Amino acid sequence: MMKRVLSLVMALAMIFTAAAAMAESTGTVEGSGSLTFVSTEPNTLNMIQSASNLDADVFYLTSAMLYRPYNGSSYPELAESCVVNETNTVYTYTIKDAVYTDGSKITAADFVYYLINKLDATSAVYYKNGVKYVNGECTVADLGIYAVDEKTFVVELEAATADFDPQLEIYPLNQAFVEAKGDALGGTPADMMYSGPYVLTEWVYGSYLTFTKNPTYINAADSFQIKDLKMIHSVDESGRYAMFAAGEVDLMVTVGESTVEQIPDKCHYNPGSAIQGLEFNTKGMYFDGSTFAPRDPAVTAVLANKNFRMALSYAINRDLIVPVVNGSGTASTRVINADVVGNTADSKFVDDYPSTVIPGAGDEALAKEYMEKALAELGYKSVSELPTIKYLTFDSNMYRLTAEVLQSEWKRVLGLECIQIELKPVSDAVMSMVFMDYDIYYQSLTSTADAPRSFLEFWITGGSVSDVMQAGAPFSSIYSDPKFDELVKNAMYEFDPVKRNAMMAEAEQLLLESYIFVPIQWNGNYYAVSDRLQGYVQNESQDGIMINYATVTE
Amino acid sequence: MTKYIIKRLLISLLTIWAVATVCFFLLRLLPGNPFILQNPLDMKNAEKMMAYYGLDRPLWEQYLSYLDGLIHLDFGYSLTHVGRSVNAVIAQYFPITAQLGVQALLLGMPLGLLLGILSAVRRGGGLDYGCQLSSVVLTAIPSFVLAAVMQLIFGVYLKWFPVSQWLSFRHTILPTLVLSIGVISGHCRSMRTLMLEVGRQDYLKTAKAKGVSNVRVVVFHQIRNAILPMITNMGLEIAGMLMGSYIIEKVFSIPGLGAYFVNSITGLDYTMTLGLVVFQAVIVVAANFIVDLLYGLIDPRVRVV
Amino acid sequence: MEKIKKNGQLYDDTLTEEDFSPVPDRAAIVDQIRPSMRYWPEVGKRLMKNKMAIASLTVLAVIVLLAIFVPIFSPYEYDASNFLAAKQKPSWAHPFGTDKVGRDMFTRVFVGTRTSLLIGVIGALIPYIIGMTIGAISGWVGGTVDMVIMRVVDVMLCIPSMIYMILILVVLGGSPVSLIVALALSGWMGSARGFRGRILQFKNREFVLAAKTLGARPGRIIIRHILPNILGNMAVGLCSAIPGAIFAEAGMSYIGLGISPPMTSLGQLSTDGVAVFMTEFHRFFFPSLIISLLIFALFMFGNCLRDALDPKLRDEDYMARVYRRMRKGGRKA
Repeated sequence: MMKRVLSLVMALAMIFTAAAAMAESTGTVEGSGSLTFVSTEPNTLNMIQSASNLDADVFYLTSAMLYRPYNGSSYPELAESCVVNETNTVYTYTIKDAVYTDGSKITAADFVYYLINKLDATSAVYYKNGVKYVNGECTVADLGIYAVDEKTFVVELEAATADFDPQLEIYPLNQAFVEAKGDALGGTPADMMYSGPYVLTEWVYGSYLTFTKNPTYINAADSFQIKDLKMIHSVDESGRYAMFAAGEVDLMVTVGESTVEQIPDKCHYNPGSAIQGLEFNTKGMYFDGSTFAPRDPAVTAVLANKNFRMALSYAINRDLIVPVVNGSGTASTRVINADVVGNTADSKFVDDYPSTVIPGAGDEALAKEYMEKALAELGYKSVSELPTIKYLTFDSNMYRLTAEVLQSEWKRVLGLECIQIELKPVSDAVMSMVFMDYDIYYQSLTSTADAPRSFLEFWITGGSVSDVMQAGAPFSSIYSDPKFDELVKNAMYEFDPVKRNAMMAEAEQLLLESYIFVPIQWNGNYYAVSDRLQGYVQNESQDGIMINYATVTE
Repeated sequence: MTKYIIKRLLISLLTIWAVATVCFFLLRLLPGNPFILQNPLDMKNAEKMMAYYGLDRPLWEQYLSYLDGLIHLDFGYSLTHVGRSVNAVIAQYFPITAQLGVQALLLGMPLGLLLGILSAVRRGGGLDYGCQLSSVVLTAIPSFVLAAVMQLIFGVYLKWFPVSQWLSFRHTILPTLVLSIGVISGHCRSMRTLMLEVGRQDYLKTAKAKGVSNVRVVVFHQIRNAILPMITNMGLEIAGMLMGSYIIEKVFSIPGLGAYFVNSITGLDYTMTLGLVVFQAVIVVAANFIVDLLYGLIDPRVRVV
Repeated sequence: MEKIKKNGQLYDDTLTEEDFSPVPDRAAIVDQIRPSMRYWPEVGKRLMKNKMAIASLTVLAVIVLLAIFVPIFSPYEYDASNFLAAKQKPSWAHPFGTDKVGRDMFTRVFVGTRTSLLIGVIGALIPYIIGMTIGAISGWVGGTVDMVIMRVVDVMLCIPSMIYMILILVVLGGSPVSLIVALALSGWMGSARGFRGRILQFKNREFVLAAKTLGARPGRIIIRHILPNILGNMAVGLCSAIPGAIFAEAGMSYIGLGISPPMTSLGQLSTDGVAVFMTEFHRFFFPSLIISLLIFALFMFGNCLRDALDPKLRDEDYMARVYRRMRKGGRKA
């Protein structure tokens, strides 16, 4: 009940903000003006195979949505209504009348088709028989997602789940069209269907995409008033900056440090697009491609020593290091993203539940103390006797610099000479991490779901980070705590948001105290907006080029 | 001659097949798989995608079906950019890369040869020293440094040319210049060396002794003979230029094959990489083939082979 | 005696007393034949006379000495970050400034020079030697062996070197050794081709045939008779292969496949610099300057070395000197 009241309040608030924004714009379905912006081109525009948020940025423009994310929340677009039953387990959605650009109607079955095709291990847990379906143990007929008629579809949950967000941010996808296109789906503008604010007119791979306003889009008259869009794909920082400085582009979705230094007043910062920190492999096994093989027991013993891990953590002064190493990073001592909403709509979880487990500034004296303890426990006389410990990380500038600085700090504070950086190309590094063939790994975790649980879920026994092999083998889970598992699981069914958050905070505390994952920073994002572009918003935990109520002055 | 051509054609086809085969298996030796990269924490998704692309079948079976596609000139679909066919990528990127390469060659080759000839004729003169020095200086600067400096000077400060992108002819000027600098200095130096080498040959002395004018000696004897060895390298050179330069394409944000290629290798996009390698092999082999034939036409001595 | 028919006339090829006449002034003639000198001392002498050679050699020596001694005597560790001294412009304390995390760029640049020189020299030599050996076998033996080797070279040249490089770097990790192995694997084909061409060029020359007739083994013929003739060419090849290897390492750094940290290289430093050349110009300028100077000096020295090594050029220059002296002498008389 509480939940429904809350969502009603939220929905009302949404309508007001949307209405307020609408009132400002005296819109037409044709729109006017043009916007050129710099971003990274999508990997694919095949909705089913898409796994990247770059793709979602484009779908935001080309496709209608059931609920459209905007500036940290979402508002209904094609959703006419959403009715919940008494037990909070069955959601019935009714959709509005809307069409694709080819004139065909958008039906409830299109949403169902999309939802079913995008089910994965993480999202399936909510839906009735979802996990079974994903594992191939039941057919689509048993699944709790189905269309009732052309306008109505139903989503049945496995159980009343508190953090299931009924405001589904999903697209309609026509099954017949997908099957007709086969492998070619989403490769070129002609291989897509359009129902959103824009139509993709041209896609020159590796260069640019152009869009033009779609007059048949359901909210064409009162949102997305810019007529033509051009998305330039550019990966070269100085080239991007030069285009922006020359006035050729009005928006850069991501900018690097050197640009921020040159035009600080045009740049805006969003914290928390990823959590980064050190992951320790405390398990004495790795997967050699066919079977589990033992790793060097001396190294495992050192890594499994909690005092050793604490010493490494205390030796790092994050508050000092992070701003220097990564201009868009913020020092972090948490495993939950800075962006995650807290007890009220405008408070953040990490502020509502502060944690002092890991001091941001570190403590050199304590670090040395812990190292002494660790050495005594392990039976070493000095740090020079420690075995070589490999620090695995990606072969890219920021990751390399972070590794170099941490290595140098450990050497300075603790006298550690045994940390050896192992730089690998991304593909290889990820593979080594997945096969647990590492000692220390610099992990970067992101989740588009804006809830504490999505970050803690990584760490439950058998979770996708704690047990990356997904082997179910007891020795492959680097973190496993029954109390933690229980807290996270119970929180799923706790309908009081404050109580739920308290459980999450408690679980987070347990994880932090284990020192299996030592957070270093939130890797945020800078974006640059010119004076010509007004009303643009960007949110790192939501995908989309949010020009919904933006205007361009000529 | 016909027999020679047929033999060469067969060898060429064999070379292309060998490249495709070696590369097919080499790529599979690279650790990791393309889908884990996109979503490192989702092994299930990776397995699903492997099955979607048939990568879970035995290797030889995949190899056979790849060869089958190759015979029908179908390179398949990209693994990392779903829906993007290799043929479409080549069709879109190759003209851009080729335009850049051809422009650089058209500018660089005649200029380089001319400077080389002039330096050799006036050996020890001011032009000779100037050319030698500047060619060495310019080759000594890494191309990404040169490109950045040119961008800064001509794009940002003087604002003569756009800094990056590939939209109009004006956009092509800076990258063409940077790319052609290597061509110019390379050709200048080797032409000068060859000219001097030829200049020492007895037939040149004979021609001079017979009273042939200096200009005639240089034009009809020295240049003609000096340019011959350069033609042998031209095949590989043209092919190299047509495949693009990763660094220059990246610095200038040019959607060319060079940059795409590197991304597809590092992204473990097997089909895309393989398709581009085979395409490149075809160009190299074809260029060598044509050069060999041309060589036979120009230099009668070679025709005996 | 056998009679030889030439121009329709019969000649007797036996020499008689009348065919010879005494040399009038023995000393004058002997002077015109180049005095016999040992090869290497003369090469050295000629090199020392070339101002360009001296200049480039000096630059090389200075860079090498700096690369050896700067890291030893520098008060800063190349890998020790100092956040209080981050992003400093060049000063007396830090002649090349400092980087983002306060590491002294002067020390880093010369540590990087060490790596680049090491990779450059060894990474150029090894593929060169491998290529030479294979090229020599291919050119000398000829026939099917040649055909097979050349086709293998063709195929390997068609496969982009990046694939080998990534494979090797992935298997062996990002150390100088693996970079050198990668360079060797992807670089021998070019020199094999070139060397084969040279062997073919000299294989049927008179002096080679003479040596063959005298029973010299192929190895000896190639090393003692053919090699000196192409030494000049090889010197230039090698001198430009070193920059090639340095560039290749820089290129690999640009893609992000360079050497393992905290070790650094000139290529890595200058690629890092390119990314920030608008804001931290010194981080772009100094590594680029050193890498450019290094390569410039190597190229220049290679050119001079070729001039000094080339026996034909040597004779020519000598004759030119003799003529000049004779003309001067003539005017005096």
